[in-house]
Amino acid sequence: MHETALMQNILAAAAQALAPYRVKRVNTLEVRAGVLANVLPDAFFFAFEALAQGTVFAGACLQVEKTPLGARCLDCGATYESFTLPPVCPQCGSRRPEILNGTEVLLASIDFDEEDEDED
Amino acid sequence: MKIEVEQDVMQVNRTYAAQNRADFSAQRLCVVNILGSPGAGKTTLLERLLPLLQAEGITPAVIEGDLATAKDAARIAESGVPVVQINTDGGCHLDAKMIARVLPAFDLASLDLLLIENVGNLVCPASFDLGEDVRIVVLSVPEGGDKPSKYPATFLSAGIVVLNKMDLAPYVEIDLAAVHADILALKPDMRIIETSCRRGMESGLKELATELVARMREKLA
Repeated sequence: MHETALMQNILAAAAQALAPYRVKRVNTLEVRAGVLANVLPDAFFFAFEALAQGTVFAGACLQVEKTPLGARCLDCGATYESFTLPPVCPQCGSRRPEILNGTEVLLASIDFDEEDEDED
Repeated sequence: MKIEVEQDVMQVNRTYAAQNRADFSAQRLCVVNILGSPGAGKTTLLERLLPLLQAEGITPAVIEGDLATAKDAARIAESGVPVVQINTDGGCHLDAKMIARVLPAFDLASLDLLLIENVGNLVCPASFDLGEDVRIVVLSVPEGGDKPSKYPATFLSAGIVVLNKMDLAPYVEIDLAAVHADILALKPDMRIIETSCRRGMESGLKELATELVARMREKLA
């Protein structure tokens, strides 16, 4: 539901990361969202399309990858990852985890073309 | 060319939440974040819970989160408990920065317990740590018993689930045993408390008050 706000933050982070470069075209934005981030990919793509209009990001490809949560088992101490809820410890089968992460929404990388040196 | 950025846009919230948590601990203040759908009965639950907490010698305060209006804060203010309303202006959740911004409105040193009623929404608030010690999800029985398995991230993030409006259970044909089983399948050590805010049906509310007092004492021990 807050995908638009998240996308605004992602594009702001991307613009900041690109500030030192003379960007001709942005090809791909790679985003990773944890399974606990409550990010709905469709709403995310919609927000991207709407917000990218008229900016350097227009026409770029948005890639969203779901990433697992990280957990530590409160019963046997094993650390593990899980894409599904509830997380179940693969070592002992316990469902009493301490959740370590899974709410992150990460701007992972940006692929872009730079203006040619000799242009303008 | 490709540059690796690896910037987490949720990190800002985590940073504010950690600061809130440190501030709360420094003031020996216990903080509860209350989630639930619109109409689950969060505000009424608070109205009925506050006098029970005060009877235990606890000095509470409330933060009300809503998209618009100060209606909920006005209801709480009638009880004389300090309350601040946050309007998110369409935003679907409270975040840790909003909480940090209103904390100066309270005399934190005089408080024991801060109860934060989040925006009515069973999805987004779950992803935003406010720096709280206890997270409660309020599920009213007319909403349907399938909610824990439909919104697992939200219920998983809670320490206490309140099954509210229990007085309506006979009329909505809810399979309570199945609801309990679904919640415990998500989290075996979840504390589940059945409540009703009807006059004369206070036993669940008292159980909730006792549970919160126990968790406060545990934190401050």
